[in-house]
Amino acid sequence: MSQELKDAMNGLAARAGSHPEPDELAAYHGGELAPERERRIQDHLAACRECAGLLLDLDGLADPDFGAESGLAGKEVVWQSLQEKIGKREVPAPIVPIRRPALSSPRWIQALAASLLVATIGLSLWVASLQGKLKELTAVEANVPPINLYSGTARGEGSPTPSFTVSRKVRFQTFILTPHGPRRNKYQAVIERSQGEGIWRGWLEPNEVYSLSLGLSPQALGAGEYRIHLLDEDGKPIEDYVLHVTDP
Amino acid sequence: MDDPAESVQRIIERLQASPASREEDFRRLFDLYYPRVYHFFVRRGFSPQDCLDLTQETFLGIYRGIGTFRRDARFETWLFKIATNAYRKRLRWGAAEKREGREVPLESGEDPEDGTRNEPPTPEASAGDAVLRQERSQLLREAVGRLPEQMRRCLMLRVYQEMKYREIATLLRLSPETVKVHLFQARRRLREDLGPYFHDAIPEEEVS
Repeated sequence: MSQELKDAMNGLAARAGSHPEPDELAAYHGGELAPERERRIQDHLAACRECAGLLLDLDGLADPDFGAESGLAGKEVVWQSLQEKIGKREVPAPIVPIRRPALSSPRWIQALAASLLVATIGLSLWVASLQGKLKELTAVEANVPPINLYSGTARGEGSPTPSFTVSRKVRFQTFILTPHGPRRNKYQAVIERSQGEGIWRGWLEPNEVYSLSLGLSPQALGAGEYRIHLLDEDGKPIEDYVLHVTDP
Repeated sequence: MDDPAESVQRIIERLQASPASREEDFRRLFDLYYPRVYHFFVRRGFSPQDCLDLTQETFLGIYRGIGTFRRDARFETWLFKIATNAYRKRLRWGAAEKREGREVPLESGEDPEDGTRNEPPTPEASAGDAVLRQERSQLLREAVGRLPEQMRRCLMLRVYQEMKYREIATLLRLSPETVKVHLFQARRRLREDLGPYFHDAIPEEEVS
């Protein structure tokens, strides 16, 4: 073999161009390429030791004697590593339909269980609603200014009964009463609905400046018209007031 | 005993049809092809550890892609594509590690531009000798380039790649006899083309 000729061919081999893809090499091997492409692959093979070697080994892969006994020392290591990779992630799990056991309990037990379930759900909803209400009631309310119930009798006989309006959304309202006439140690207060139905009766004591303080919950009273009667210790009427609780 | 090719087809059919048979049948395929795949990488010049890694990568590719394999195709051709892809991928990885530097030994290396060898200057070698050698190399290359294409390919595979007739015939899908004829005619044409001054560069064909 001439080294000089071989060296001269190095220059030709340097122009081999890019390697064909494995698919193309395989297609060339199978005679599946167009003549023009086939010639270009052959030119590349003549100049490229790597691709020529690969293509020669394609037939080797079909030969049981190709590399017989080769790499046997590492065979089981490779297999175990493969098993780990394919066993954990690759093998699709068999699809087994879930068989539900048939209900064997009598129908009345099923009905009872359903009722209990409905009752439990209902109870839970009611408790939740109560909790909501409680939360609402216990929430801190902004200060509401007191309402001064002026005296109607001080304005003379025949003057209309003093009337006051408050919204039902107010949870607690303080009224300041300044009754006309001689000062007393204590007064009776009566609250009733406009139809005469009594709601509350109690005693009020004047403070140092002789005014009375009455606390009410319009929210608890509900919307409607109410009358507040102020009486002396003997039950003699002193003042009347009309209170309107309106829906917000 | 079944025909091995037929057995492989049956193994693949079962692998594609029944997930339950996967591990058992995949092991059969592994047993059949492990030595060949390993040897495929040995012949590429990899270390034993790299050969094991690449063999594993190839079988993993087979396992993952077995569902896409067309049964009318040749299994070994498909296997070749997977193994070659693994090989090329490893080469690219290696090339990236070397930052794409091409290693050319200083002593008697080849010039990456024109393929000529960079022989170290000897005391006897003069500048005139080097020029003469380059001119001869250029004339030889041009003469080879003028050969008919199949003749040129046969000569390159024979001289540059030092292949046997049988291997050249396989690669170019010719008969070994045709390869021999091409080689004989290629040398004769080169001698005629270049004259007696080049006869020593174009020796007679060595039969192998």
